[in-house]
Amino acid sequence: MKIIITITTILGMMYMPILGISQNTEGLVDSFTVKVEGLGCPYCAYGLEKKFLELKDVQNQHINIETGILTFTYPFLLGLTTDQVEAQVKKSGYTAAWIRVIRASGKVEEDTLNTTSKINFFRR
Amino acid sequence: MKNILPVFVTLNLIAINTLAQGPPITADKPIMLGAKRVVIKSLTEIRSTNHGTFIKAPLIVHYLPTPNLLFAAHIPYVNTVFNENLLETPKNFSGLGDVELLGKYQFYRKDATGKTFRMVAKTLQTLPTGKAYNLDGILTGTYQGYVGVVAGYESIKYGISNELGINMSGNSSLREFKHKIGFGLPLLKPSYPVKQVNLYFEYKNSWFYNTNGYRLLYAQGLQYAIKRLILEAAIQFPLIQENTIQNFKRSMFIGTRYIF
Repeated sequence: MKIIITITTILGMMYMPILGISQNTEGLVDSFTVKVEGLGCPYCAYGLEKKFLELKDVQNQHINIETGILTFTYPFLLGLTTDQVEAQVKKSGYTAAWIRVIRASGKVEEDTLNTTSKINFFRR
Repeated sequence: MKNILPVFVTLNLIAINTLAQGPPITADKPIMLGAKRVVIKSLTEIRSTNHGTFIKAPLIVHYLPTPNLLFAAHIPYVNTVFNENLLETPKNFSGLGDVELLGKYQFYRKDATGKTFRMVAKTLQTLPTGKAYNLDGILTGTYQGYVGVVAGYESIKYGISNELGINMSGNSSLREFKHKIGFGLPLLKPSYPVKQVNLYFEYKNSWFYNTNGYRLLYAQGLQYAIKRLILEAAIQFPLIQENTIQNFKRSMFIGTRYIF
């Protein structure tokens, strides 16, 4: 029995770095930055906030109305994808222009989804 | 009647060049607050006309099953106090008014940073649950069907809500071609969580095409929004009235809304 436990522990420690999991993953979070288009009024942002609070483990949520930047953190182990983030923005009635994720492992993911801000359709 | 076309054209030109912020008070908006949202609101109107003083206090519940679709029910409490010098003074009434069912579908959306342009198809069905008193917008006891389009541009600095539609009814005096615009001025810098004070300027054109009546109303409103709660008040008075059944003196609006 002791041999089995020892082997399992050693194998686990060997595979953790390969899977990108540090030995102490508890409390580690991914940091998300989302550029949201269409937030035309502060009151409108409540729909966006509430939609992300449906992802129960969202923390440190912040919305900058003037820049349209939504930031939040999410537990690393739950592996929230940029597709899921885009879907939440869409459900709240807005458009995600790009999503940037800094994973707890240090890996950076960027997803450009919409280019309307570059087209500057509403140029003043 | 000859005033109608220039007034409509002028207001539409104003609408193109004048912008607003936040949800308008007496007009409608094309912005929707996301799927599975519920908004509870009320907008009490105290209207004085040449026929008397009338109060409509509706409980309004909005529900959005999807980001593009909204259903709402308006359940009004109505109180009427008719002037006693009328030729035929109707009996005063307090109780349930005409229940209204609202449906809106957002069919166009163009988003950019801090701004959006949206268009919504709208229908409002008025059920004859109240007394037949021919008080348009308050108490008619007549089935009415309204269809219209709401278009709006909104940014954190500017915006506008613009609505055009037609109201149909078995009662020919209620058949109406309607146009509303609402624009305003945010008095505080936009922030989130919300803390806003907005000043509103809203116009409502009504052309009762069967009776050739016309009315242009102007409403001056003030809105205070704190977190999920909005408190608002407006005073509305006529700028033009021709061949209308009721001659408006003024309406006071007091309202509140809360987003869940």
